[in-house]
Amino acid sequence: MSLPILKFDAVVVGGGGAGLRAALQLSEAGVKTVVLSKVFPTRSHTAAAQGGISASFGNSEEDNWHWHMYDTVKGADWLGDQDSIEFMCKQATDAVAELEHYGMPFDRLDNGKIYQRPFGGHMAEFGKKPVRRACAVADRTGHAMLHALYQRNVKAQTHFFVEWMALDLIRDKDGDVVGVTALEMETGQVYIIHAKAVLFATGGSGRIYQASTNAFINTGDGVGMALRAGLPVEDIEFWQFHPTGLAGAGVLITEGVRGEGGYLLNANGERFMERYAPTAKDLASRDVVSRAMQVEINEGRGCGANKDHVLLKLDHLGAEVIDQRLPGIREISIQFLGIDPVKQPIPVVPTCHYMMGGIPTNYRGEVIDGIDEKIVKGFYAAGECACASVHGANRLGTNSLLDLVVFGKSAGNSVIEFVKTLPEHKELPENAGQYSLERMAKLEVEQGENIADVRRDMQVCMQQHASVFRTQKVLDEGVARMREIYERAKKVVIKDKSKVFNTARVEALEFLNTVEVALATMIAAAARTESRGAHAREDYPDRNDEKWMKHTLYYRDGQRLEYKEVHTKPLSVDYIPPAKRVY
Amino acid sequence: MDYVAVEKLKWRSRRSMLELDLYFDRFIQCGDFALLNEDELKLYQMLLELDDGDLLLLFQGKQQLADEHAQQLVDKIISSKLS
Ligand SMILES: Cc1cc2nc3c(=O)[nH]c(=O)nc-3n(C[C@H](O)[C@H](O)[C@H](O)COP(=O)(O)OP(=O)(O)OC[C@H]3O[C@@H](n4cnc5c(N)ncnc54)[C@H](O)[C@@H]3O)c2cc1C
Repeated sequence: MSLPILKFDAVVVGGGGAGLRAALQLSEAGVKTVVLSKVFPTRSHTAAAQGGISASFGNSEEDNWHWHMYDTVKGADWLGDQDSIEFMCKQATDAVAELEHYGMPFDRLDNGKIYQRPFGGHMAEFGKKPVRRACAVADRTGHAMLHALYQRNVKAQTHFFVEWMALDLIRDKDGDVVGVTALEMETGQVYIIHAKAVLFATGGSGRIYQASTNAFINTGDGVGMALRAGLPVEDIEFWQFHPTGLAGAGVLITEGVRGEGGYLLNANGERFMERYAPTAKDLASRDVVSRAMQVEINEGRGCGANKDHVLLKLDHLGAEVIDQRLPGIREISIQFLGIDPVKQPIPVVPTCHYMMGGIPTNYRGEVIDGIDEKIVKGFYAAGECACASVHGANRLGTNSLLDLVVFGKSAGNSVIEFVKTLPEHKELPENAGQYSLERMAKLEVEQGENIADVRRDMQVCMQQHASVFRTQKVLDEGVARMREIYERAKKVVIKDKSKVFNTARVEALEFLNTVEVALATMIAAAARTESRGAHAREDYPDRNDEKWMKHTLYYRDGQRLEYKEVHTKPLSVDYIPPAKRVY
Repeated sequence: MDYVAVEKLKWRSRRSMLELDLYFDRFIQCGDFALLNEDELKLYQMLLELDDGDLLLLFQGKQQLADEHAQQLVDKIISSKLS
């Protein structure tokens, strides 16, 4: 069956911060660009970011990009590429000033300069003392960023296809990327979007876990599409977890609660953090608290009928502190769990927050394949779906919003250069689109697996085997279970076979991406026998630079792993050699 | 509203924040959404046009809508229960 073809110079998949920043660069340079998005761009997950965006303006006290770079390298536990990290930290102030110029109403100091807040891991003088580096728009930083960028794109005449879902990459016989297939949800029609360049900015995939702070839309489509097209995903075993997500809901409960005097209890009513971290107790670092909680649960001291969570006690803080310091948490807890934190402790579990890995790129946003980092012509990626790699084994707070705009712009610039070298579109392969149609047809056979069941099993499996408590045994069992789930996922079917606005079909197609990310995570985690950043192994508690200071590449074909070197040459400064990551 | 329009509303109930997904998803999953009449569906559509930050304030009872019927719908969404 031949599909309708639409032609653009560039197609950007994703209308979050990264996609909008990239599209703006392209449209302002006169490159005919379309942005595809599953939802209206300003409802992308970026809007949920509240904390802020980092840039070393030094508006309140001395700061500079060298210190920011050091913090990022250290935060990443020396798995970040130092050329990319230098690039990002150096560009940060210009990138944020640009956002301000686009109309982002940053909070200000009395002298008119951008106000900066302190944030975990932001330090002056190479890790010596805290510094104020996070710029914010009240508690709506991400939201303000999306609105400013969207308005600017409208002005620049970027085309938007909203409620369109990209299905697959189209690569020609040379392996170059020449477009995507995409589903227009309104009509159910599949199109080929023929382009000189494709830029992915599809966001994260936190929905692989049962407990996640991510909105439902974070289904890992970009990584799924890249994997199906024969490309690797990098460092996918690294996921940032937050210790206190509301059990059964995922909603994040800030560290501030424990800062205010809240503490954790197991089923015996024991304040167990005293055993794991006698000095810092409940205020130990995120990974330490998360693992302690999981150990309590694994060893049968979890609370509730299923013994699957611990309790966060804050009722002793009083209604006033809770209402003031935890806006929203009380309501969510009452409305979803029937528990008022003012009267009772609330159930919490370690909760997935951020995907450090992604589609491998260099700092120019060009997608690179293999150990020799061969550039995949016509393919670019930025934002949480990409791995540049600046976050390495652990992302520093507020560095993600920065990543979106710096690498969104950089990838945009690379596309502009590339498009100039291609006077004409490369030809589409003869069977372009066939693969997507076959995948969709498979969903419509009569008998098969139910998506909700397989998805739940995947999320439970990931939570039990690949969250914060990782040992060889736990991970190997996880790989076996995930492989079974992956086989079942191949057989999912939808009951509703209607063509127009069929949300069941969209959810099934999303799930087929999510499950790719889940399996890749499990396999990559089982193979890495060291602890580094967010990947903490009970059986290998130390970082092993000699053997493991390298990036994982996972390929779907043969579920195979390769390893490539970490970039140790920054662009202009000296290499920051590995040291112990202590705060 | 025809079937497609209603499906569209369900899709547009996917938001940028997990909190909002939780409210809307529960409302749809528990069957209350399916019981909305034509007028309520229009109000629902209007709610979906709001900014996510504002929606959150409504659901958390920190803001109220001037329109009585719209506020009733908000209350319905907040108080829906999965059986
Ligand atoms: C609760 C929370 C708070 C956070 N706070 C902060 C913070 O304060 N500071 C910070 O730096 N980071 C923060 N983060 C992380 C940060 O918000 C995200 O990493 C970042 O917003 C991701 O942006 P993005 O542009 O890559 O993707 P997103 O904003 O997630 O956008 C993805 C886009 O891709 C589209 N899309 C996806 N798949 C497809 C497809 N198949 N077809 C078409 N379109 C598709 C979607 O419609 C969407 O438009 C936070 C994260 C969470 C969960």
